[in-house]
Amino acid sequence: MNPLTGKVYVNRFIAVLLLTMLLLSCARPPSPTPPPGASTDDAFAKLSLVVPDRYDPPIEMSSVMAVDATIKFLGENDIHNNVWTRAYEQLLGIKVSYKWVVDGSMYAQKLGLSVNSGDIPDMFRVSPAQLHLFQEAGLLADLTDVYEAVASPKTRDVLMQDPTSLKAGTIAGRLWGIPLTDAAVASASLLWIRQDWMDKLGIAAPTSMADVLEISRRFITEDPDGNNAPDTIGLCVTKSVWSAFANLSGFFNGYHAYPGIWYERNGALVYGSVQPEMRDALLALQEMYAQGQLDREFGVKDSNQVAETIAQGKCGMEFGVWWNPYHPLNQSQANYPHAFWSAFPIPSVDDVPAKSQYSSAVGAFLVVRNGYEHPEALLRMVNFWSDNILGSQDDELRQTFLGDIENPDVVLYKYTPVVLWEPNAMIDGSKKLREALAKKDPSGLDLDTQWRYRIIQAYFEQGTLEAWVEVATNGPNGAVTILEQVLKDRGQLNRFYGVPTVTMAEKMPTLQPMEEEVITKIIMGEPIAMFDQFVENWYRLGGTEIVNEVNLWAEQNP
Amino acid sequence: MNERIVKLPFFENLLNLAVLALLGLLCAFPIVHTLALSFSSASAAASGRVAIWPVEFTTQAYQFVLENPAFIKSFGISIARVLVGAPLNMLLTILVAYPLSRSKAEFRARDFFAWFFLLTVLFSGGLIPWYMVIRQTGLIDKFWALIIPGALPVFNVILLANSFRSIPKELEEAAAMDGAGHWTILFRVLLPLSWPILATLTLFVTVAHWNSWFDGLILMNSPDKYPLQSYLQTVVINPDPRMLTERDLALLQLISNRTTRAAQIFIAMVPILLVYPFLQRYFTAGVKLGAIKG
Repeated sequence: MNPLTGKVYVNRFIAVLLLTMLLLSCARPPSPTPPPGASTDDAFAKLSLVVPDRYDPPIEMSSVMAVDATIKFLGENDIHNNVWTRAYEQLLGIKVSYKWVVDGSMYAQKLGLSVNSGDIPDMFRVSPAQLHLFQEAGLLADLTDVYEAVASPKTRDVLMQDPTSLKAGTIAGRLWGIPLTDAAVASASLLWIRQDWMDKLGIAAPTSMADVLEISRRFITEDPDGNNAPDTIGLCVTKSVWSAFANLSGFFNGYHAYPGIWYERNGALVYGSVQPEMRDALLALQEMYAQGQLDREFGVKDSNQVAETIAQGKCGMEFGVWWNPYHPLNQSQANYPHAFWSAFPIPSVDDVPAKSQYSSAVGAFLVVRNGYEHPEALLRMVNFWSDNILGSQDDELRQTFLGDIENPDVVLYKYTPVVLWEPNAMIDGSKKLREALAKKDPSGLDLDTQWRYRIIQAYFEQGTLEAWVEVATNGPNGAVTILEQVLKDRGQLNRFYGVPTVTMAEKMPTLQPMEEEVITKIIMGEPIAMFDQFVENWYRLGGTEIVNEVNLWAEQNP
Repeated sequence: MNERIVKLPFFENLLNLAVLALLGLLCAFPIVHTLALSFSSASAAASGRVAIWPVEFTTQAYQFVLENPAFIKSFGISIARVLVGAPLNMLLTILVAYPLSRSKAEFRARDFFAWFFLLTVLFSGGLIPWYMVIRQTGLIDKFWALIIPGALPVFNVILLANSFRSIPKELEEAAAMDGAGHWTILFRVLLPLSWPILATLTLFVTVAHWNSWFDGLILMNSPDKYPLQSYLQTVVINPDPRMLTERDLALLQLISNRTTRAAQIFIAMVPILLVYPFLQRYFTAGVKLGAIKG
């Protein structure tokens, strides 16, 4: 093994270690504790848990589970007998049994087959489209009353933090599905730039889109990677406006264009992709492409291939979400150990500050079968999660229910379908971390945040290269600080969060590829008149009806 | 038939060879690339530096895969599935093809049964009825759900019945004269003359059993019962990064990074690659040549 390989290996090892430890959001004190497999009544008894009601005698609840290839069990545990099933049974008096467990990629299909053949679980997870489908078929229980009666204050708080989420589970004024919440703002794009290249060329932070274009030009002409070959790319993009990294939407946002989302304009909702602001952004991208600042082949590359380009150390800039340093930006260190990226707010083309577009994060709901005797049991399970797990500072509790640092690949919350994340938690936790960094005092932080604190300190005090990932996201001026701005007044929320309307379901499958194709073609040099033609076609081929339907929906869902 | 060997001019010959060689390379390249990836370091693979030769050679991916219990287990299920499923497929194919290859005089309801089977090739009940039948028969989540629903490959029956029909009647008549019944005719006359087609069909059903992944995913109720290709499907398909949260990414990177995926795909290819050479020699052999004179 040559020294370089060893170095790369160690880097990767550290990076992976950092990631897993970080992502598990949990930590274990060095004192020996019984393995999670040994959890019994005693294990729960030691914890201070909020458990209001318990079914006595216990009730039965059948459910189904989606898992992925990363799920792992310790000892005697399996999906039918683990810390979560034991907690539900022993603490809540709910005996959960899974009719089947399937890989996540097949979940929707297997659920469809199962439900269609009359084999309906008591409680299960559905997609927004399935929620409407099953509700119309009369298969779901109305949860409005049990929600009012049973939901704990904390549960209500979590579900209300993003006001759209509960509404998304509501049909005709009644609640049918408990939304599995997460932070919507996490889908907002930021501008990521190779900071080491900026430093080398003496470039200051961009304050306008003109600066972005100038940085892109210098990144390809001034050989930032120092290999005397013109092989760098100014701005990495995929043809998709939606991608979590290297997307086009961030660039468009700089021109006040919001492709793919619905927002209010002159009192009505409009579709961003057909608004006139798209033109200038497209012209700018066209110019960049003509000058070789974009990948010549961006039109055929998916995000995994762009990740490769980033790993090769050829990318100078990209628009992507806040967690990009964890993946794929960290990979640029594989070949260039000193590579690191910084996040910047999306600059504007004019004096009006640019807004980042983002969409509701609710992609699934928990529902109860119509006719199940205990619809409130679902709410009790949700309460158990939100009252005990969310925002918990109790490290022993977290390691019992979420996972512990000695087995970072065993993620305990993957054993239960009832997993909700607090939309504001990421921002709040990051704020506390930055306050502690400013005071240089980690006391009062939970172990997980303390651990992040130490990583960031290691970066500033010992120059640990891999730690930039944590600095760029949660550090001072990190990506999360920009998200706070986005939440305040620099964001454009997708106003449409319902299921696709009738015409949308019918026409969007043809309109969307058309949109993508036109954008790609114009960037690659077709005349801009093509865009005007596209707008005309879009309205003609069903767009007019879609706009009407969306506005009708908006009236009913203010 | 005109048995003239057409001699192509040198240039055309060269052109043919070049085109065929190119096609051959096109088929071989993905396999070679996968093999090279599986022996490369993870960082080299991630940055796309691997083409047809391993970069920064390592066997780490194979160690990881071979220590992965889920992979080993599903590998065993696939082997069992082929060992049980393929012989059953062949047995039923033979037993159904024989009566269907008889003349109407011998088997009066032949046309009815021929259409009965053929109908299932032309029309399929659809996914949900298929699933419901399997559920009602209590096969869901059982190993036999992978074997029984497809136990009779009707298309293969048609091939074999036609092949039986093309065997000269005189051979059967001679056997019958010596007192052979249907079983003897089938097993001692027809089958020994049908090696090429039997070998081909065996290959078909073996490959089909080895490669099918969809039924495993749908019919099994837990991932630890997945056959190999179902398991691979869950780790090889690139997740849509927009659907993932940062919590999933790191874990996913560990288990499904490109080198381990390549190693798993390659190991899964090996058994089927081993089967080919053994069956291939029958493809071209004309076994029945010379059995009949005049």
